[in-house]
Amino acid sequence: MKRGQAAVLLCAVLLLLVTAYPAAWLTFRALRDPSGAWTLENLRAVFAAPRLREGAINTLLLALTGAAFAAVSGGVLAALAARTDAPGRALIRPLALAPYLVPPIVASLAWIVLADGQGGLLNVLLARAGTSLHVEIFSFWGVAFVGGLVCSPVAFIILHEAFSGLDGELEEAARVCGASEPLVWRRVILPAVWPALAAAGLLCALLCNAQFGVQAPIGMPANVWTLSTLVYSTSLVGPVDLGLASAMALLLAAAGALLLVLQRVAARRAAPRRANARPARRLALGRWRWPVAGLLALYAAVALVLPYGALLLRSLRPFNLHAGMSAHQLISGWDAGVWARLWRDEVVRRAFRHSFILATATAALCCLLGAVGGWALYRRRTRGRALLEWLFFATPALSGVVVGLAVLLAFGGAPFWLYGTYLILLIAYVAREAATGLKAAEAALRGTPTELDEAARVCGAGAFQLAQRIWWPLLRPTLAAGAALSFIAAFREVGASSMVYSHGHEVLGSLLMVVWQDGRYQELAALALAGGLAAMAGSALVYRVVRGPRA
Amino acid sequence: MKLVSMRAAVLRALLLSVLAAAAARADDEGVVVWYAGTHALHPAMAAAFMAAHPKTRVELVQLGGPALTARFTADQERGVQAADVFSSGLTECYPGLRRRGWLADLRGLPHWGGLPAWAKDPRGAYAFFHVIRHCIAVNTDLVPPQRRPRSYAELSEPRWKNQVALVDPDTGGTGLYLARFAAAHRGLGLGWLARLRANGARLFFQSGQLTEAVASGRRAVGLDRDVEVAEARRAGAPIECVFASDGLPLQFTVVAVNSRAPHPKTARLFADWLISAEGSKVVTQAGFLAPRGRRPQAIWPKAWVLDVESLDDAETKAFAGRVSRELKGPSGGR
Repeated sequence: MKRGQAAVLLCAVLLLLVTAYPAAWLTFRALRDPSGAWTLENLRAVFAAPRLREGAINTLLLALTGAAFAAVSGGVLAALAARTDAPGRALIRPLALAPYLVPPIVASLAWIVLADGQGGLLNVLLARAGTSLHVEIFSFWGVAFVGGLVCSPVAFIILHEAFSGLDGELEEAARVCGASEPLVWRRVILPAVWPALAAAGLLCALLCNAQFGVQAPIGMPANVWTLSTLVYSTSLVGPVDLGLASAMALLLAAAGALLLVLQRVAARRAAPRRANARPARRLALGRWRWPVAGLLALYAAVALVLPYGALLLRSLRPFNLHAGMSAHQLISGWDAGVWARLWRDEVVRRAFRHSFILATATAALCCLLGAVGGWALYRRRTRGRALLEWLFFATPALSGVVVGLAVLLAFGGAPFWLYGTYLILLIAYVAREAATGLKAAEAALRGTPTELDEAARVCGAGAFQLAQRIWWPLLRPTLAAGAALSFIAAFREVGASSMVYSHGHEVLGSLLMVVWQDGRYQELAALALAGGLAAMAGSALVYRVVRGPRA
Repeated sequence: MKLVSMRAAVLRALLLSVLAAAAARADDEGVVVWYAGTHALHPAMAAAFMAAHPKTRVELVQLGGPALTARFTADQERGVQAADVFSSGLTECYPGLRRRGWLADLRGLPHWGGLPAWAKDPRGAYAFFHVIRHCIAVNTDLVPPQRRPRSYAELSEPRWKNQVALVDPDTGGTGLYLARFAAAHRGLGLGWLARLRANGARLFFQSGQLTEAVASGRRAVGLDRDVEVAEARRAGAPIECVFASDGLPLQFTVVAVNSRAPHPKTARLFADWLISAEGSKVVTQAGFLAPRGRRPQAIWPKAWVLDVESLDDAETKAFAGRVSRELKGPSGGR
């Protein structure tokens, strides 16, 4: 067997082990009763119990509403950044990507501090201002709003690419034929980006479907249960029923797989960027410039200033501000000591250290798997490509809680006995992030002409030389971006981490979950801010190391 | 007579030297991993023990009761022995853990005999070392003294609309315990929980979150426990405990030793210290109650204690489902 084939085979085996094997265990557990006999009782219970049925419906509705919000907000920002002369255009990209940096559970905390119907800061300010306006985060719409906000960077990335890649010739032709600017947008631009919008919307639905970090802190108190929170509650708290939890996880996985198929179909229909496309003209906003600037400022307030400000404020106070406080209490209750306490805490230091090491290992493994998989899928036209591609994309569609449960069932006990090791955490992270590596490799490989390979082969280069001298230098910059994204995702992962961690193997995600459960919100806010900064610094370092020195 | 007292003295000296030697050997293990609940009493007890046994380090792993039990169970099922001593306020989980053979027999501990019979398992698997009293936590900034609630029953009245917080019974632990109290109470019943919910009571994941919500003024009152309220008060929160006139649910912090503890000698030494007079002193100095002397019901006529030995997993699951339906309407069944 050639070395190339061996690498592809190894990649396929590894993916089978981290994705298909846990999925098989999940199915197995869902179809067995505690005595070990085969049964459909667990699946029947999911459909029979009104609460579980309601959880399934809530999951679907939250995915759709969250995705709609994400697609609209991400789409508007992408259109403004790519196709208009909006003021402060250069700032739109960092602004749109900002919600990605903090884990969803922390974004949820920020919005609880701000918009709790009873005593949230916004409600206190609105009441003091004498208005009758009132916001309530503990509601279905609250979960959908925060879920959508957290997913909007994904929609922005896809739609920004779609808007930037449009061929300007078509638009110019329409204008030459006398079409007004609104007509050009309606008849040319929007139909051209429609498949990308559908792909972005479906991807956001997929992510909202799997958003335990929002559904748990906001949805559970509001009695808005979803399959993710029911899986968590049934497998880790309350009376434990792993068979029922597995059946619900299986249903959630099936919904994710369906959304994934639809997303892949929509993504294939999205027009690829033409290499010789003429850049499209930017729309002059004219008198709309300042209203648009206002809209951007409002988004900046909602996505950046208010939540991060609330976190910073919360990290400096043991208890939240509330309407009944006297002026003296307002002035006196500040405490920055939490930062020092966290710094001295051995468990916190250990969790950060573990997260850094595991996120780095995840980034390296995902890039390696992505590079080998990308080569097999987009260069070699290897047999079984569809299966390989599915192995890559199957698990990111799942909630971290579901992946964690599946990995725990598959690797926690016999025959691997990996519970209580770092390896089980790494497996869960790689299962969730392998697709990022492949996407990065795909972007690089699709843009590289095959003539280079042929020329190298004609000159007598073997597979190793080809990889070292041609592909690696070409793949490096995009793989570096993929590695940085995998790093951030693994560093801030909460759902799977809290399912599979054990004493002595704490990571930032598991720590955030524990601190959230205990209601230690000051520590949570400080940990979140520190974690966000560490994730940014770590991903920049990983990017730098993988990319290497600039030519 | 003289001979008898001499023999007793020698025996006592021998026993003490054996105990001292055992303690010295336990110190040799150097560490004890203590799975414990989240309140601040546990770090204080760990610190006091380490002061008394400078060669031994207590590694404290704090999680909420249900999560802690799930973690201990997951460890046991997968053959990972991390915990030496397991202390949770979730008393109802201990008989089940004993039945699965995961708890060591503590009857040989030197201070076992000093505990009252009601505070220990007759089969020796667990003992209580701290009494937790349920109470109504009140935000003192939002509720002036004359408006404070006096009973659990009145919290379902319209004047407390949208102001009450309670722990979600679906998350097990404190919430489920309180639901058992309500179900057993003649004047309340599970219908009281449903009325609370209809009156706008908000559900929280665990006691810590509930205390934070009351301390931060996001809810004026909450169905809480004295340990969490005391901790919040110490941190400067405007919060106080009101003990209701119509009932006093009591929970206990339990000590049990893992039957396959990685540090068995230190584990037993530490467990013994927790139930000793010295351990009880730390509990009382922190402002709490240690289980000494008479039954709680003899001290507080309204006290209510769950008979944990009468429960099993199937009953707990069925009860949790019933509570969930009652509290969250027809769609509330697990």
